[in-house]
Amino acid sequence: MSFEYGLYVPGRSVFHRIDPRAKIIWALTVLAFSIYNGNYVMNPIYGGMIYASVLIALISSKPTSFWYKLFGGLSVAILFFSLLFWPASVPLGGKPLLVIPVLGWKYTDLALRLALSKAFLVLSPIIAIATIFITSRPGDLFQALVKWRFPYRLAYIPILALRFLPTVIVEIRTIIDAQKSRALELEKGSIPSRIRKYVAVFVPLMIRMMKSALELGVALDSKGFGAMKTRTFSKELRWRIYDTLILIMFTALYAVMLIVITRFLAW
Amino acid sequence: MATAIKIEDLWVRYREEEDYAVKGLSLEIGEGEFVLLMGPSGCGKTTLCLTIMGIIPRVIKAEVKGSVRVFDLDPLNASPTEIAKYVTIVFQNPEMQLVTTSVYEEVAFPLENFGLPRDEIKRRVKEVLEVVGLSGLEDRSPASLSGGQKQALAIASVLALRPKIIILDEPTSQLDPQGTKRVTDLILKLRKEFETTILAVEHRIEWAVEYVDRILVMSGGKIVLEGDPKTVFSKEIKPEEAGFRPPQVSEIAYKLVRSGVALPTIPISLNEALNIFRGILDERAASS
Amino acid sequence: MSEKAPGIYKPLAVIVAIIAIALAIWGSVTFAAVSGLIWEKGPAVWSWGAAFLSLGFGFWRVVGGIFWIVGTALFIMELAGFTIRNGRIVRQVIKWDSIDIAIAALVAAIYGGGLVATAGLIVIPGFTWIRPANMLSPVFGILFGIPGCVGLAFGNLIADALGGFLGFGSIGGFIGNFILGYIPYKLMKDPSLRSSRSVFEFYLWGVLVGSVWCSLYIAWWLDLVQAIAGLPPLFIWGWFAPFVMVNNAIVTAIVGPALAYVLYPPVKRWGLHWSDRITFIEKS
Repeated sequence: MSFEYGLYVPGRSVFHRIDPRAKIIWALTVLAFSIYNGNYVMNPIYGGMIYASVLIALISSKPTSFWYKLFGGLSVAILFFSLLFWPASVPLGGKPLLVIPVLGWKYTDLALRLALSKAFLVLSPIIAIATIFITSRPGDLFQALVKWRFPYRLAYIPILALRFLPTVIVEIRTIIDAQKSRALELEKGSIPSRIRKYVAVFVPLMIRMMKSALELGVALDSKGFGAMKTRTFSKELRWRIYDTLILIMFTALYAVMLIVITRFLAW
Repeated sequence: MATAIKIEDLWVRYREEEDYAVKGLSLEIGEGEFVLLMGPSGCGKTTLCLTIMGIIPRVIKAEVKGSVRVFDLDPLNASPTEIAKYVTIVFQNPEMQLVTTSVYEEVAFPLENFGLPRDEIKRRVKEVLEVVGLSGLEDRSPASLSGGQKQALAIASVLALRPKIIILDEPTSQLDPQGTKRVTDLILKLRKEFETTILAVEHRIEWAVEYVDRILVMSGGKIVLEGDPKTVFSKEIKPEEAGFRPPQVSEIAYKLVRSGVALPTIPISLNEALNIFRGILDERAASS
Repeated sequence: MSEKAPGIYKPLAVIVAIIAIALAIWGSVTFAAVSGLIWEKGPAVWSWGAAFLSLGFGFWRVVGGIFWIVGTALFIMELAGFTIRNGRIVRQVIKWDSIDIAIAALVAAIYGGGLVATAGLIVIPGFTWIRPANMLSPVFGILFGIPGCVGLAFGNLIADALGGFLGFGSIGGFIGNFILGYIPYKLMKDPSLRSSRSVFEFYLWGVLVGSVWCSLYIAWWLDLVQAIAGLPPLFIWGWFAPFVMVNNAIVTAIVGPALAYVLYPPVKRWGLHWSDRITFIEKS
């Protein structure tokens, strides 16, 4: 969990090699099909298939274990919350199908269908979006934004923030270690007292980082940042036929799955 | 030799402070000179550098009297982009100056900002990486580099724009001997290949003493001692007063002089010291 | 607030602080209750979420809608270079030079990185955090103004990405966190934290109003885009909104003023304070 390149995890997978713009369009496709399923079709099997496709995209790009743990935990949590809240939010009829022992929650077939479809509606797009960040260099994302005519100074803020993410994490860990050696136990005590202890972490961090803001600003000036209205990119993003093909393939896959499942596996 | 930096009667006082941080300082540095600025902390070194860069008063508000010229530019009233073409600063902690996630991007970044054509950028990046000795590390992340390499990369990234003056803020303070050697070599190369003027703020002297043209010693907002290393260290300097240690060989020489040994000159480098001591020993051997 | 005797602010500050901390404790009990899975019998009557829901979805949708519309209008206006000053809309010039970019980026990195590195306080894995780094949001707002608020917005995006919920709903979090910094920045008359009046203002705007506004803003957005974000209204209004509100109130109430107190002088000295970096163009 060093985040050496921000969220980017270097690699040579299929997703690493496609244009970031194609990945963004892919994520929007996932979002569109998920919305359609989550609101109109409500087929958990189809939702599960989209979910599986984004999971395959994530796993094929070989992220660090941090991401596996994160999305593993998140998938369980969202399924749980969805099952807990959706049936209670919308009163539904249907055949009673499932009773959770001990807790006594009753689920009809409709309630289950709704809860599962909604859970996949939440999960698939966020994993797709995470995959973009995991497989794209911050610099390439910056270029994609600039090519889409975002003002480049503003587009640069999140990119620069991603660059300094590992620096901040290292700084915080250093400070936490230093405070621990002075017997500041961050993991003990009630929640308010634990929060209060974080002041001892954040004050030195902030003072150091704010001084750095000045240095960073001067460094950006020294590098001529913002000197020209437009800038070149020495490694230019090129949209290749390969990117188009991948997009068509995914869209076709989602469409065909939709037709097949609603026709033959209607629940 | 053209004048690179010319400062006349400079006074700087920070807002909400009573005393001036720089008090009537005048200074001239020629093009291509390698100058070391030394002194205790709080003596006004940093203030001076920030004023040369125009950061004071543009960002840090302060009262500034007197004149500063950098070649034909007045940094007190110039835009940061204009200043960047003349003078640039590399801070003590290079981490905060590396703004991208790979060595290649880092060096290409300023060239891209100035909208240079793609082939030109590639050519210049290659050239600069060779000069600073980072060829072959193009795809590494700055975070994975050693301290000396980071420092070299920070210098490389500003070098691509060919600034005439580089200010180095304690360039070696966080480096091991190997890293220090890398920076020293780089400075010598810069002077030879691009005739860059270098102003280094330092506490340590050993690494540069043989190559530096001039040493400026500041105290209480003024320059109190000035000259080539030989002259500066010819009289005894007490570290606790000056805020920096003279070269170790000079310190030994001071002790010898105090204990009554007559030395022809105070040595500043190991080789020089060896020659002098050898000379003395030979003399004694001959006379006895 | 007119020129009242300064003495009145001390007791007021104490009262507001007590209210904020009381709300915070009430809230933590709620989460203990919900995560203890007592929901099935209906939310416990004393819980924060139940108090929220007892007013009805309709109430929250109207109130949240007002906060949302005003908040969005302020956000767009500020980024377009206008602001409200002395009751009038005036142009403001933020240079967005390298220093502003550096401030915004570092604020975002500290906010995002702070949320990861201090994630020792996860209440339910993956979804609900006590976010200690949130204590920084009003502080960044009052120190750095608009660049600080923009940094908070981007920092929240990074935090969302690292928390695994970067999605369509994050647009609400983006502007919601901007507002969390913006409210105290704009409404505190004395940002120094060196008088009891200033501390009172911090608790009023930075802790209470900021937390409420931010949480209702995000909740209303999530409710609006329910079909896209896929979160149930019961969760949004009965759980998420009170959670965000209470989390922000807890962490900012306990340590916010101390942080702002310590950080004000160095930021002012280095010329990074917003009042040194912004110019207003007022037509006379």
